[in-house]
Amino acid sequence: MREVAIIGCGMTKFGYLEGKGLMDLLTEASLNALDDAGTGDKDFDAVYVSNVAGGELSHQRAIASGLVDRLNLFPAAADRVENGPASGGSAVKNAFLAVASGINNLVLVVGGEKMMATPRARMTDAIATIAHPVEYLHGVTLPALAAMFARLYMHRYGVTRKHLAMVTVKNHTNALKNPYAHEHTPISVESILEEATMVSDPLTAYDCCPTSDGAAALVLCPAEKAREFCDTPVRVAGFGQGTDRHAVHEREDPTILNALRVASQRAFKMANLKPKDIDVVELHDAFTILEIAQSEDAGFFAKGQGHKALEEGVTAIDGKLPINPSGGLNARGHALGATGVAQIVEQTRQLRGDAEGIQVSGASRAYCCSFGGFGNNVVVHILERAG
Amino acid sequence: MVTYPKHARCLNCKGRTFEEIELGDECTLLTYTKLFAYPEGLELEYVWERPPIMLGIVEFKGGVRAVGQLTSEDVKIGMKMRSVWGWLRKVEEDDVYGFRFEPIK
Repeated sequence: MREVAIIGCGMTKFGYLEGKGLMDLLTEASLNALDDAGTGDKDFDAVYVSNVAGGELSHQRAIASGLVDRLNLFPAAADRVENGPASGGSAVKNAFLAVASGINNLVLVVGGEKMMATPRARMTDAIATIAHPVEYLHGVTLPALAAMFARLYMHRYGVTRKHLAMVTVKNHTNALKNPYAHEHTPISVESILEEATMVSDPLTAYDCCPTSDGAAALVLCPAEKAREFCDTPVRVAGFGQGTDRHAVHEREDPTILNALRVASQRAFKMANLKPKDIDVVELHDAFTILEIAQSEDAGFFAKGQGHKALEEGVTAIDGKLPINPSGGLNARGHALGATGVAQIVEQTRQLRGDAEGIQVSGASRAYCCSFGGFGNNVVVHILERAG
Repeated sequence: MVTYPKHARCLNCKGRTFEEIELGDECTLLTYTKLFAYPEGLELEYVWERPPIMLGIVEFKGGVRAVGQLTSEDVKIGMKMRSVWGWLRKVEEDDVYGFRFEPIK
């Protein structure tokens, strides 16, 4: 198996991008990544496009073929990857495997979603179909699953609504300095606890990430060729993926994110690293409680201790283990198919020292968690600044 | 091993032979939420803005669990519940019926 490097990255701003369709967003992010990589008019072997609901939300299917056409990447192999909210992580994994196997030499991965043009109740329903039918048919939505998970977590581990609000404040504060972020709103714990609108008790609108328009892209090649394109390649040191019971209620302990545990252990094993070796982390905080739970099941803190690390400032941008310096899904935003790719774009910038405003000083190893369903399919990547 | 929902192979032994059993009505509330932002399909006829829906996970004797709507807002973790039949929602134009859970007074 060959070593694989990221030699270029690019993304669009996340947010309400009026006047830009799904294909416009995918194109913009792709061109940014191609320019960043300096691949010029070189031929690409393959293109992986991560997108969850182009057919339902943008009335466009088979968008990988459409993107190749738009960008003149003929005759590259092209596939759309759909794996719920973990689509981005899955697309990057596919690109990594294609290069690592020796079959492909130059691969583009791009994720995108257009969400804000769809009415909210219809969007909520479209996303809820990710849940098991025995959940969905009862009216269960992703925020409802997160809320039931949060209540159990609070009951068992002493997490409070104040801890959840602290995640929002940390991530919104980080996002203020991220020009790509959806949210640029300063917010305080007090205002969340006193004024925020309840979405699914105990989670408020500030505990739930926004749904966004946006796209993000990466260019991958064999590590041995990376220096031909770029002075600061980033190596994909490891990836891991795991799955869990579809229905949340059927997990032996519904507060344990076992797919993440498996994915994380596999990624660390492949990278031959341990959680203590990581300098910067991007987690899938679609709901604030998930950042706390994932920080534990990823292996960074013991079960039930994540909220204490948060309280002590360990996960702040200037803490010992910064989590979501980009603002995370909570404030950078969540454009379903784009998110897992965007996390790796943000981390590539961190490792290159290019993350202006949100740079974690001296970051040389990064961890990304792309989290699908309500935790039933998780992809983890570990990145390392190439020596 | 008793499971809900159904699987094509047993979660314990990968066997493919199953029988359906009655779980009984009584269960315990494991966790719950009051959902304000309900999805399309849960609107009520003649009600412009429906009240929030209560959802919860309940556990039956033997440890099998299910998720469903609760008939009351006045609930707490560990409470005894029973299952009752009722209308749940529409999917496209079709009405969906199923079990809901109510506190045992």
